[in-house]
Amino acid sequence: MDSVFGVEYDGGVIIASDQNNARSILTYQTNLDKVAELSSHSAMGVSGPNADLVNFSQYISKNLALYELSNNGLKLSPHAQANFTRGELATALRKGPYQVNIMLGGYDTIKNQASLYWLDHLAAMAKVNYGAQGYASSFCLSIMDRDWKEGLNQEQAVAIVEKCIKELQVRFLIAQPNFIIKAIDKDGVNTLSFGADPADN
Amino acid sequence: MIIYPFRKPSSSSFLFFLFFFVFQLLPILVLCQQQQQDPLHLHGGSILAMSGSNCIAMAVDSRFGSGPQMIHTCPRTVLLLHSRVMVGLVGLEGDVQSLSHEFSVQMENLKLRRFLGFGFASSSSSSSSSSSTSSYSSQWSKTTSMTPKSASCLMSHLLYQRRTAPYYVEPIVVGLEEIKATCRGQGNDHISNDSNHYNDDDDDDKGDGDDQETMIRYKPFLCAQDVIGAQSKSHAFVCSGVAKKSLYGCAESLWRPNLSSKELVQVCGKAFLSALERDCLSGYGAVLYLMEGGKGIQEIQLSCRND
Repeated sequence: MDSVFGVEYDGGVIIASDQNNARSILTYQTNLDKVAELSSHSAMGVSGPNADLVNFSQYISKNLALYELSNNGLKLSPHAQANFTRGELATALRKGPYQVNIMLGGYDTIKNQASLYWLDHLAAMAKVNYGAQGYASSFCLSIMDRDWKEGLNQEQAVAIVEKCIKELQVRFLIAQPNFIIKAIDKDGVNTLSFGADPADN
Repeated sequence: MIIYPFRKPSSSSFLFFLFFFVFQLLPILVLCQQQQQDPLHLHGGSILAMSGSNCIAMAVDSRFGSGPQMIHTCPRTVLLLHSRVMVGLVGLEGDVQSLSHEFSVQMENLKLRRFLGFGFASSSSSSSSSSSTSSYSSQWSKTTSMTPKSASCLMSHLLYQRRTAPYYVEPIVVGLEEIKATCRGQGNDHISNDSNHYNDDDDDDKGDGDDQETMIRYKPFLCAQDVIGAQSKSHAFVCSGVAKKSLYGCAESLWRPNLSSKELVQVCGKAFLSALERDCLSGYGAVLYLMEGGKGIQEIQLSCRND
């Protein structure tokens, strides 16, 4: 039911997700932040049951922090973080799988390059220019196919994301009134906009 | 474990059994939100490998999807061990990535073990100036590079290790086995790259003072495996993936023995693309790797339908 999608542009990545926390017929809250910050220059939008969402995103982000502490402040590149995340999903797959689908975006401060990864709950990983998880993919991928090109700037990327959000709000059966949009670039992870303030949890 | 204290002789016990079992399974089926799909058909992808005379072609497609939806176009994972062995992997993409990582780790371990087996404690990456180390490493690279048969056995072993919860991957191992024919009246063929024979002289690139001539022929090796590593070898062609059945049909009708490398590219490419035309879970680009004996591997892009 969650909509998570991301668009890469020249110099960064945008990750957007809805803010609904719901199960079955009940909505618990409409200001949940599903884009978890992993490190200073990466974040992942997670879709799935709230338990796995919170558990897995905290597990990954704390392990990345531990790596930094254990290795004299050495940070993992987004490529390494994505592969680490995939490895954790793969190990857990045959023990007790995390039912999370992820869009992981990061900015490599050494290579000055942004990257976006699509990760499945079955531990499949693909490096993509834009992507969506969940039902959002049925609505949004065609918009992104049409509008995305190499060398976008942040405004253009945000415009694509806004188009996708509008499409979901018009055509998607489940009402998702609030969306949170985050950008990851050389300055780190910034919240560009949100429908409802996630701090009021 | 279901314990029944006593058996009711009436027919209602059968209904009780049935209801009990269904009741056990029902919550599990309900919790699985998605349909029960065959894991081998979830992400799509197909591979075809064919043999010619002294050459092998492996065609792979580029579709990575989630059921009917295409997510990304990127050629299938093909592991390159050296210029004479390739391993193509297709199946559940997460397991493909895990298995390719495991296989690469095994290859590195083997290299390290063979290098360290000579009693040198230095790591393989350190450049040692001692002549004995460098001669060992050059011996290693010439004589102990893995045969396709060994690579196939290693892959089979890795898959069977997970017999109870298998990797949903159906790999294809292809390669060229070097056969040196020493012509001295009799033709004594022996496979030159066995691991026991690292004391052999390499006759092929030294100028021979003897009156014997050595030709190197390359015998194609093709092996397809199932999810638990059952090897099925062929001298003609092997296929794997979602379009496997169509591929077998196309390849069977188009293949003939002793194809030259140019003909092989045409035949393999045409067979692959014809089968892909009819399969919706494969496509979105095709790449053909041509492995020629003594010449290396060439990558050829094929244009195909984007669906």
